[in-house]
Amino acid sequence: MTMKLTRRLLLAAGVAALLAALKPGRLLARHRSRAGGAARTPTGDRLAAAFTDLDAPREVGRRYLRADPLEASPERVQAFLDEFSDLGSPEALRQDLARLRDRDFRVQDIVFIDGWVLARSEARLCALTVLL
Amino acid sequence: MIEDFRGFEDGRTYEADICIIGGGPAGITIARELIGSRASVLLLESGGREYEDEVQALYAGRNVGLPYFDLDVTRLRYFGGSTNHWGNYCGPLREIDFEERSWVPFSGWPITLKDLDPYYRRAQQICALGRYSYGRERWVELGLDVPAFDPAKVLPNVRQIGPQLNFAEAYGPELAAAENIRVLLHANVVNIQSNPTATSVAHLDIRTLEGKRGQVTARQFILACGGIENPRLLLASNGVEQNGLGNRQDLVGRFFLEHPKAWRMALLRAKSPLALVQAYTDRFHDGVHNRPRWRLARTAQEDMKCLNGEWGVGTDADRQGGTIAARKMWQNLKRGRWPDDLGEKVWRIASDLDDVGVNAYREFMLGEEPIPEFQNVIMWSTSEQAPNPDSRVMLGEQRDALGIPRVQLDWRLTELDKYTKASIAKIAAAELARLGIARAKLEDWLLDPNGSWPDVAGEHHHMGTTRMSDDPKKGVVQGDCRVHGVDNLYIAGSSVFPTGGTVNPTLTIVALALRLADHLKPGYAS
Ligand SMILES: Cc1cc2nc3c(=O)[nH]c(=O)nc-3n(C[C@H](O)[C@H](O)[C@H](O)COP(=O)(O)OP(=O)(O)OC[C@H]3O[C@@H](n4cnc5c(N)ncnc54)[C@H](O)[C@@H]3O)c2cc1C
Repeated sequence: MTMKLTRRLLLAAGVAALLAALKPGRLLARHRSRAGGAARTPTGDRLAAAFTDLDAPREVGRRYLRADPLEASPERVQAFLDEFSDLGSPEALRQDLARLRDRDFRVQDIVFIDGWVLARSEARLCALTVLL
Repeated sequence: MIEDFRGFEDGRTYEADICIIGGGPAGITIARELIGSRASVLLLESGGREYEDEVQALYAGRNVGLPYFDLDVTRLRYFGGSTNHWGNYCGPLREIDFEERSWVPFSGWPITLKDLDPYYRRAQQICALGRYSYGRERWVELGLDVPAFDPAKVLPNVRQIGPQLNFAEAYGPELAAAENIRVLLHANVVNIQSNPTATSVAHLDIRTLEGKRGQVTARQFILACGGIENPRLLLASNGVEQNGLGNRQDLVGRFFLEHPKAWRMALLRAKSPLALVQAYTDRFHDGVHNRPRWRLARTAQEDMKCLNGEWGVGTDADRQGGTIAARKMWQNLKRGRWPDDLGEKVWRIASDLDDVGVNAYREFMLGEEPIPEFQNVIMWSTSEQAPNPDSRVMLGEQRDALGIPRVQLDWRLTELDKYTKASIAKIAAAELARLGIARAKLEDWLLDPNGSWPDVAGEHHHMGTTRMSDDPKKGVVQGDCRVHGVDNLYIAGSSVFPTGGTVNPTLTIVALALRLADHLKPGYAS
């Protein structure tokens, strides 16, 4: 059964995205070397622990990856992670995410998940919750 | 003076310098402008001072294209024309609307915004509007927060909503008092008779529904019967040229334009939906209501290669709800009119007292616009229509009570129209999200390039059917509104618009009517 994205899920995804930006910086940094791993990694476990509700971003991430499977490639994930200036600093992460979101929306680099309009970076962040 | 053709003897010929056919805002404005000139002016109006079923029935026709309003509902056939029930929502076309755009086939006017600007300012007063101001500065005047949208994409915009202004009631008395103006009511023009070479109008044939006939001769004729009736009358005037007068290039009736309106483009989610709606709801200022909205900037249209478009924030409030019923009733009573469907309105108010109470408090105690109860905040949009020769007004098989073929409307939209709606939605959604104002969930039909048009309607704006171009192969009238190849026939009204922009047409109709009057006046200077 395909799940319709609800407002709650979307808002939760937003919260999760923000949490991802605030909390798991170091985890993401450590993940750099093994991006794209299929099985749940220790990094993934710790990332999951950083979210209050992982269902929503995962659902967004799954849908995003289903629509564009190439986004799961290690190269793409790495390229995305490279967009962050300092994955170790929560403050830098937050600023980077705001910058990426602003850039994506400005150049219309947007994706549609069940009709909802997301910045590509937001969708990629959600995809990480599936991939990591 | 204002007279009734039914009271005159049969078979008479009437003479004038200038004969105007149609007493809507276009015809009335021109007649009014000619008051006190040396021109004797005869204005022929099909209807009387009040609505009559038999006269209105002359407007009935058939829709054979996209679903559209019944053709005898989308306009009114009596003195004052459709201003007998219009909304007086007004705004000027923008600079880009007049330009030829490589990505919009058949675009480009032979005149510019600059040519029309002084007339817009005068039209503004005629339509009883506020200051001539429709952009960012108006937002500031209204005390609205102007969001920091990327100005290369989205610009603040306003529609001014003037008082209910019936042109016949407002300006009829001036025409009645003018010595050089004569208005003939119940005078239906049934034929525009040209000379044998169809280069000049020789006379008009007029009739009453009771069968009385007459003829009108004049030095100059102005056709001002509205965007559907103007082409109908030209097509039906086929005694000399079998395809109709002014129709050598088979353009009359083609390029029918509307303003495709989608009430629901997207669902909007914001932290406080009510605050979002309140931020962009109507403001009463400068004697008029002002409805904030946004429009696509020139660069956005150029980059996306789409048509012009507007969007705004609204709600899915029940239009049958008590608050809307109470407002309509109150507006009618203020104008000294007894509301239609009084019983039904009272019932609707009674069964929705909570909401009516909250909104009465909002309006009368806080001086704010009422916001009827709603479930969802939505994004709506209205857009320019792509000029399309296959979207057209034609003559049908059946005839009306005067023997004129009834009209058939084949309204059609193109891929460019749909692409434009999707572009508006994407740009608006991205900018709203970027600024953290709201998140948007677009309707499925906008994301499916092969999908249908589920929720798109017209706005009673009938344009394009006698389009303006300096090239006789591309237009019915030239830049001064004279019909190509016919030396004494002019057309007034939105049928001359080659493209329609996104705004309600009447301010432009009145501006063009003023410009046409200015063009004619020197011929009658003392
Ligand atoms: C419900 C509704 C709401 C609207 N709201 C707005 C709005 O808010 N803002 C806006 O800008 N526009 C609005 N419009 C459109 C607006 O009313 C028209 O653009 C405007 O009235 C057109 O003016 P006109 O003089 O060209 O034609 P009309 O108003 O159509 O007048 C044509 C006149 O010609 C007469 N006539 C027709 N045939 C003949 C004939 N054969 N012989 C003699 N006389 C004839 C008719 O009786 C009529 O009086 C609305 C229209 C409707 C229906």
